[in-house]
Amino acid sequence: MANRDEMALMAHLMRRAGFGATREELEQRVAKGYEATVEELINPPPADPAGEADPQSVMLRYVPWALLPGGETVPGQAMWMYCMINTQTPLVEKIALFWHHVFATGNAKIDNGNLTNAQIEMFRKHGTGNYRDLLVRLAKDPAMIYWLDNNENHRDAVNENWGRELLELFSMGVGNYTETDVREASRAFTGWTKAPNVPRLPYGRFPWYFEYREEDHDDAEKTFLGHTGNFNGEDIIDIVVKQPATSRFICRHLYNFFVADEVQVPAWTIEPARDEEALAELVNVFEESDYEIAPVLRTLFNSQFFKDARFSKIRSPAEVVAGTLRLVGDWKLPRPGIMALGLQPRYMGQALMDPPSVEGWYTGKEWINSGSLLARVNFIADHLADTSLPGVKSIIADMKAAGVTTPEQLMAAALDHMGYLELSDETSEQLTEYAKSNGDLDWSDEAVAGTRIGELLAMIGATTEYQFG
Amino acid sequence: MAIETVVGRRAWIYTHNIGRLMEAGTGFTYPVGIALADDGVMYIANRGYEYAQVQRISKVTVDEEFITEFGGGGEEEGKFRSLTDVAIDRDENVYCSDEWLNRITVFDKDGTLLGTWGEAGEGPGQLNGPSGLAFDPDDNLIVVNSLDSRVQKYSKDGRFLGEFGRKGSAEGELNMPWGVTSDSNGEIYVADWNNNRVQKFSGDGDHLLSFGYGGSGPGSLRLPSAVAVDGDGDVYVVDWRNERVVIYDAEAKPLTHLRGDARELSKWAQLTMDANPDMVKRRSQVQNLEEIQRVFCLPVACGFDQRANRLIVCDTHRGRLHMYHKDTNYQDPQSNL
Repeated sequence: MANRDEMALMAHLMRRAGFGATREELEQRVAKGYEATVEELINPPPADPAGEADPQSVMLRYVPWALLPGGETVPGQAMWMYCMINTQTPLVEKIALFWHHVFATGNAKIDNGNLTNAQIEMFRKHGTGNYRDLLVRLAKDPAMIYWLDNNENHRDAVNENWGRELLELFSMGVGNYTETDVREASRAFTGWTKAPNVPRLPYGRFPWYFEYREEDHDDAEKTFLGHTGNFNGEDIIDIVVKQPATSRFICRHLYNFFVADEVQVPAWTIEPARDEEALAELVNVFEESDYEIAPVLRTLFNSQFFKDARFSKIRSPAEVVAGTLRLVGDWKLPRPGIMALGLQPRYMGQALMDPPSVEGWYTGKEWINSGSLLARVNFIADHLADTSLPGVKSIIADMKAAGVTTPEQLMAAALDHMGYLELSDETSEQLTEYAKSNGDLDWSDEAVAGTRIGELLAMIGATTEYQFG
Repeated sequence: MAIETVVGRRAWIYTHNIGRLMEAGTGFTYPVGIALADDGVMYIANRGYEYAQVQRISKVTVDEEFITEFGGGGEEEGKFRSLTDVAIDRDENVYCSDEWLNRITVFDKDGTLLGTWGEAGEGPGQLNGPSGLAFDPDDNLIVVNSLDSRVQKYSKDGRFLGEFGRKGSAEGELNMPWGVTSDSNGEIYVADWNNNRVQKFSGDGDHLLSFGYGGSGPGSLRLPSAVAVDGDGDVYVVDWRNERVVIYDAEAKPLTHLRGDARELSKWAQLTMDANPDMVKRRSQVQNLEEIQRVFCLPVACGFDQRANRLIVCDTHRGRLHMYHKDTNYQDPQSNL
């Protein structure tokens, strides 16, 4: 039997590197070991071609229109949420969410859910790989090309949108380049466009593809960040990746997403990092590994600063929804109503695949306002109090088997099942008083006992502390 | 020039395609099931969208003539929430499975509702995610229960006659099975979706043979969704996740596969083009248009019309059907090229 500290640490890892885990999964992972689990998360075993269906396949069997949803965003949102809930490789989904935060691309403009789905799939496949290669893929991604107008970037009519955001939001951050650099980078990406696509009629949407048009590329000499040459797009990316500002910017994003909330990105030029020593360690690994993401994640998850950072991040809406549904064991199979599942994070302020702008979402305490908090609490409480859900049933059965009877035992067991949650003294006292108000659990009436447990889980889910992951 | 897929003396010759992605009338919306009647008449199950009226049965001909449509979205009798498959009995009455409502809905050939039956559950005769449907030679209805991995047989009025199968991966066991068919001997073929194979059973449920295994190589399958058998015993499996139809001989030896051959527009698709010159203009700019357009996109169903020696594949995400004529006495006219 794993000890409580090991379980609590594993619960922390699985919240950050995934979307949480049930007690049963935590026990299995603790038995495997912490470092071995980190390794498995970063390098999951390849999909078995003779194995059972992956979550995307299950979704497409029951919801075929999630594959090529055309202008609709919602089917893709539902598909991604279903994958987050049911994935066997949680870091794959989590790293896709990370890059979606950084390389924010919105279907509001693209009006082509297939493209945004394909971009997320690209993040799944390559998100823990080489950052330089990822930037090249991003520059060739039809969704990004259309989102940032690079299809309108011509040798005789330069459009700076992609070139600017590449430097400002996707690599170095503001203050590390000049307007001339923006112009020169943009010139280097002229001719990087999308091929004419098969139109939507009469057979529905077809994939879009990258196309390089040499005749539309400005091949003249350019000077960029002190380098001069007849640069093309990949040359610009090679220079960008090697800038110290880029290493710091990307590693700070990784810290902000996986370790602890930072100040908002626009303040990074004036505010020091929350933990400069930790950031320096990540930057060193990033540069030493020639800009690979996996070694940085390995260092991060195994670091003491990560292990000490429990409940120091406010969970994003996607994390709230996926984490809660994994805990209660809902949506193992698609069913009518699944489109509403994809909308839940939107109600809390995070419309997946449709960020408010290319800046993405402001995170941390910015997730919380009176409306979004109400949506979070209602969603969490509705599910945790539902004793018909398999995960809640399992928690109740586990408490019964463990002989949980007194209010103190009930509180402790509930907190453990909810990820070894740590409450403030004040919250803990109030909830314990609530638990005491009905006396000991009476297992002679399991329905009543279960209802009491569900109500307590819901009340814990409504606390400030539960909003932290 | 006809497109032919040749194996020895067998050839599957692409003839034409019908349909377009359309939410009513002369087109299909995620066709996931097919039932073949006389004279080239077909009943197509349109999965449609959630809550939408486009969940319907289309009655059309192989020559792309629209006859009628019926059904629609909803939970009342005659409507569908998750329309999954269609089959017809000897009288051409139309049976439809709904995997969410756990219900079989029966119409006559004109679309008049005759009734519904089915009770949700995992017991004998109860329905739990009914998906594939087929009639055996005795005109009894075979229903695949996808969620508890059973195959059940009923009389046409819904009286339970027998069952076989249970969840697992051993021979004779099933895992989220989907499509089903019966041959002229009453033997039953089940698309064992989550086990990446097709299994052949006797009419009493004894395991006889397995086709395919997990993967994407020749003869392998990835999450097969449907199966059909022709008069020679050749077996057609819709290899859903590999987006192809794998053809085996009667002994489960893989012969070849089809990936789709619809390079040209169907008649109904041409109507769309005639009304949308902006689409015509855009299509003219696309390189390799025919190659991009011709292939299956997550096909779900197929059927073999033995009267016409015709294979029909539901190209689900494109809203069209690909037609192939099977020639069993093929001779290569220019073998010395």
